[in-house]
Amino acid sequence: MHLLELQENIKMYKAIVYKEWLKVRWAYLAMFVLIILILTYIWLMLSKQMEFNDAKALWGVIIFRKYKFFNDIQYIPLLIGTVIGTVQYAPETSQSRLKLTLHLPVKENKILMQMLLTGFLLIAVLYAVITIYLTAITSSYFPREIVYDMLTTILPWLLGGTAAYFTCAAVFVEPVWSRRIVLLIFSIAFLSLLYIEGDHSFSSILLLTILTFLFPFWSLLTGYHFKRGIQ
Amino acid sequence: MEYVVEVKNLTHYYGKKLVYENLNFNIKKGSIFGLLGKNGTGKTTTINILNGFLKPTEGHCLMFGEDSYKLSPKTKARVGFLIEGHIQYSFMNILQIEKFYSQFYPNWRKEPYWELMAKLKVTEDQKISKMSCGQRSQVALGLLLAQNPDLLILDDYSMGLDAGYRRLFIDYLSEYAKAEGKTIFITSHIIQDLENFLDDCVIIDYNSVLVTMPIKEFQEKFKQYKFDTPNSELTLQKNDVVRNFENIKGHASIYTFSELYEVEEHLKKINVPYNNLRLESMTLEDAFIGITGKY
Repeated sequence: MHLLELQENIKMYKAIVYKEWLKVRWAYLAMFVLIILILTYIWLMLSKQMEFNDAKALWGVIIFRKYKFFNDIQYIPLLIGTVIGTVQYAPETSQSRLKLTLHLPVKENKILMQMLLTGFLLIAVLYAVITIYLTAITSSYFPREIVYDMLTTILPWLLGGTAAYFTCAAVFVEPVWSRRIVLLIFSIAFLSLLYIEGDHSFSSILLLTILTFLFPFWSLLTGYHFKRGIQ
Repeated sequence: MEYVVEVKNLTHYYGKKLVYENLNFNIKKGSIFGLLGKNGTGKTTTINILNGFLKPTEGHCLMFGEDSYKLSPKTKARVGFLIEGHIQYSFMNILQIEKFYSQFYPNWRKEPYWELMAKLKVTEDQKISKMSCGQRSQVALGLLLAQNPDLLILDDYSMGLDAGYRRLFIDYLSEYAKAEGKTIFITSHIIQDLENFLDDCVIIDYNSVLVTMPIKEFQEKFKQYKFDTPNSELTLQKNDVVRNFENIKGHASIYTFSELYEVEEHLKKINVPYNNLRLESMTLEDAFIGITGKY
């Protein structure tokens, strides 16, 4: 690829990022504030528990009774994925505004993937904030094993939020209602796998991660349906 | 002859419902081509096929020689597209939208856009969603002119616009696009503004193509003959001579491509009592209603 062409591509991608940001910014900031509030609440509650209870007893409850002091965050990634997906894609598909985007001088699949990548990176930053904040809280009170347990517990939740985001993108772009419903049923079934109580093994997490990142291909398919006016 | 758009044997069905069949037309470089028809006759369907947003049941379209089904980014950059209802990114303000689009088009020229925005007397942070339909039409037009495309595809530019905004739209198109030899493909169900604007046209009706010819030829050849008849219930079958017929309480009109003597011969042949058969002058809108009918 020529340098000039690369510069043009970067310029266009930056414009796509700009457009996506304009759509999601207020919802995004609201989600950011929400997670900071919830994580701070978790931290304060934990520090209070540590202050008034015996630390060793609390460790025991966490290890043997599987007590999750961070449980309040469980459905927040799902909420983030759904809200960001909705505010990003609803304006595109109302009044078939996506036609404007697909008419831009960029290959259609490329522009759909760029939109998806932008949204994914934005929610990934929020998920990184959750992960880093929770890791900081957990590691300040507990040993490495509990931090590891916490991370393997929240990872399926984060995957759930990611899958919810990809589902929103695909559902909004899909022009046929019956296909939308099938897509939703499939996604809900997949999400329920992620929210099953109990420990996920490394191999199951790996499989769930791979399956989550197959969702964007569904967006390509629904984009194709939209592009070809399939009814 | 260099054609910017070639439409060949286009047939489209929605399920079992026929929109039209065997639509054929070519758009010459630098010409202004109108696809005219009443609401629901398939104008937007044609635009969607042309832009690759719909796969036709049969036939195909070429745009700058490329199949409209798979236009390259380079070709898309040469085509300005106005969506029916002047749809734009309503979550942006007028500054943001200009900044956004300017990143995609190498020939971007912001002057006509800002010239139009200055006329609207709106601030730069005016959100498009808060604008009237007329103002939104100016934003969409300004963006098209700024894109500086070789071909402008305008889907029902007149939708929701009052006479002033419709005139402004056409005036600006004439000023920037027609004067610079751009090719324009325009659809509309309001004909009066297009009288001195179009070069060629296709008129479509429900399920059929009525006319494909230069607009001047259509205006010259398509005629309205009026006559009086004692039979206030008279109806005439459509055929090669009678393209359309109206009779309001014995005051009848025949719309036709035939000459006066041919109409007279036809009336005599089918034993229609008539008197005062005369040619009536028509505007383009009269001719459009004449050929498509009032219903």
